[in-house]
Amino acid sequence: MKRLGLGVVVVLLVSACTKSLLTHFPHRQHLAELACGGPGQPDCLSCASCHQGATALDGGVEVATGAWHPPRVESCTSCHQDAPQTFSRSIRPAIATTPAGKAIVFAHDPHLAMPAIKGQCVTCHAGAVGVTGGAPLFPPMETCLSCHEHRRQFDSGTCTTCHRENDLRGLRPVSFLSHDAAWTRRHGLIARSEPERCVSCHAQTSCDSCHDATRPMSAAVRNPEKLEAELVHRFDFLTQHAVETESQPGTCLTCHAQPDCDACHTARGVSPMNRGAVSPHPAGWASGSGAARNTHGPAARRNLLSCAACHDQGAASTCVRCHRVGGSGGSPHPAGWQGAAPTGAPECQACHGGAL
Amino acid sequence: MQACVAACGLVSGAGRAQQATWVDARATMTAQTFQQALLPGPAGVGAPLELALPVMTTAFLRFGAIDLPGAPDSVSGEVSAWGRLGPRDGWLGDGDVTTAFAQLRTGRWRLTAGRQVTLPGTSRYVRFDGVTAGARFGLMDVDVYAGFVALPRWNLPRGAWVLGFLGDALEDPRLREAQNRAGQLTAGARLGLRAGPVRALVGFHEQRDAVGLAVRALSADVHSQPLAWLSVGGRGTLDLTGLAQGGTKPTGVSEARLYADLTGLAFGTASVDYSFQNTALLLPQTSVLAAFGGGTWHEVGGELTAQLPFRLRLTGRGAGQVYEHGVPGGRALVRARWTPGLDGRWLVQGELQRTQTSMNGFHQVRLGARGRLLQQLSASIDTSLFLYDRPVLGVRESMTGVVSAEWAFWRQLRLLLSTTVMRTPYAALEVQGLARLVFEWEPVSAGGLP
Repeated sequence: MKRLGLGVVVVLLVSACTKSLLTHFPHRQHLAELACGGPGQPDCLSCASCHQGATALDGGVEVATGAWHPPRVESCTSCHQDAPQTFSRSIRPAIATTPAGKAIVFAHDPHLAMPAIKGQCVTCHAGAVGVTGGAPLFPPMETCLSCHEHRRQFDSGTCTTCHRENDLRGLRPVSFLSHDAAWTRRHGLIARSEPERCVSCHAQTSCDSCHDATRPMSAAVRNPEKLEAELVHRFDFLTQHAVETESQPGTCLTCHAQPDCDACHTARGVSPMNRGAVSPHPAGWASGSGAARNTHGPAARRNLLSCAACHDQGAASTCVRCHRVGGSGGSPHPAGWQGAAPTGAPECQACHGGAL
Repeated sequence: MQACVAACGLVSGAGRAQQATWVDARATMTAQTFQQALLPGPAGVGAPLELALPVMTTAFLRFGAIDLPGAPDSVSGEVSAWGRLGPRDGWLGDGDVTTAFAQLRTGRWRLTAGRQVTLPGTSRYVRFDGVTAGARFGLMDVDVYAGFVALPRWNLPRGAWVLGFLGDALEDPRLREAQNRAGQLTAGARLGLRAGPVRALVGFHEQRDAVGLAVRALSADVHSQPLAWLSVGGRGTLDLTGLAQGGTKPTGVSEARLYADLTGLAFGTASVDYSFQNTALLLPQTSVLAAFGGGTWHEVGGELTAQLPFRLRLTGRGAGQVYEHGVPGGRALVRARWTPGLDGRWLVQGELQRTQTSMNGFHQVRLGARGRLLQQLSASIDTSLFLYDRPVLGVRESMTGVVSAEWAFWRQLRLLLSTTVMRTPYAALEVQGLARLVFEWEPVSAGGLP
């Protein structure tokens, strides 16, 4: 269950890293197709003509943003008489404010001064002069990783050098710890070995959104619209759960305590503990006189957990009434049992009372 | 506190001394109506249930980058809880605090105190009230934890269950057996190692209950991404107290897994995995049945996902199992998913699944779709047909359908209405209504995507 359960969490994450953000502004016309510099023509434009040297509010504090900032309407009025209307059509409000996850901690000026960049914004922001479906407006993280310094940070999983810690919950790693392939089924293994890594993006509440077995409603019931989430308990799981526990014994224990089974069966009146309840086992299950031909032994060896769901009441367990040394069911110990190791283990104490 | 973006290097964060304190919170309220038409148990044992209207609220709040003297941005934490109230033979209230911890992190050291979660060995998801202390030494991470198991409820007993069918909403806390946390102790430690693309971990976990030692396990995990497109890993858990394993050894491997994932390929992704479980060793050692031993099972599986043109994705998944005495089992799934639109606002999927065990098996045919009809309105439909090899209570099929519609009043407030209709071996007709009101307050992530 667990390996499928966190699918809900993964689906909830916004894959901001892979989004292609396109602006409505005709950058190409302004930068490359505009007749400029000649007699009677306007000055030629560069990126910095509109985007240079602004400040912005971050957390209520005015900070320098370097070269990048959303242009102001005054940038347009020198050429366009209808600038206010044109401006409002060209600038997408969601880009005018920094999109979630794109607010990286970044200084443009020293980057623009690097020889490889030569002051050209489009080296990274090729999408600004591109077309729909082309290069993204914001550079992919691989662009950043072409620098050795950032590659080292990336390999060590140090995200907060560039990303703000509180943005990480809205991002999804694309390559490092890629949440792809069988990630939903693997996430428990990864989370166990690198819990601190998970915490850098996920709250513990994220785990509980699927794994909290105390909630009365399952994640599938609470989220009927999440078709793509790999939730285990969809639809008529009441009927399937017996088959599912047989299919992959032990998987249920990922989230459920073993006594939960009997608690539920008792509450719903389908447990042998209920007065008047009829055994769910077929005739001859434990006697050999019916169709089942005393097959409870092999069934128990195959999935002992299913027996324990109802029959585990400590020393009073149904099984040990017969399966005890000297009992009609014979020794409970499996073939090859040597009993060589004296032990005070609780399961031994139940029958042997510490006499071993 | 001040957010500082200093232009003192190629990455200004390298010289950053402080972050702004941040808060992140979310609350969800779900109102459910439920009326079950019929629930016959085996051989006619009935469990009639009356109309119920439970209202449930979940909420969490987390925070970070709080300063202590001499330790800026060192304190963070999280609190989450749920509560439920609804009429059923009077008003029933219930609730739980699922997480409540604060973490102090300074330099290489970290200390977490309160209700928290750990992922140890065979007890794979443990919530406890206690303390975790950790530190990073170069390539190594060390964590030590101890506390009281939360059972999993803080004030009431275990006995919570999630089967996923609609009667979940009707769980009656008065039916549960009271539990005593005395003796429900847990403790453990883990050592993590990072070396190039390899991550490895060795963990020890012990858990006790009122009777005595329930779990003592040693586990090891390794995960590596040697190539950009390849991830491999594995894990194993050694039960240090189990009496099964043929009854000849006091220890045994309770579970083991190996896997390899191929990602970032031109056609899609692929993965293969192998898993092994000795189910008797997954029982707590306070269980008498743990002495009986049991059969082991092996599973080998794979998954292939192909990304086709027109935003069509095909997934195939299969796994074969071999139990003791060569008894076979298996699962297989084929799924087609189509997500037209740049932002995936439409989703259409079809799925065919087969599950086989020695006891029974079933086919599942599933069709579903979801779309954003208007800027504020989304709707979904999800249907499924199950065909059982052997009749369950004399019935060979289950038919289920779920429809939902969600209206986003504004970014922070959404209302979802859903109806589920089922015809199953346990109910001639089962109908559920779900009303879910979600209010999200996320002040630190207000930018959103265009």
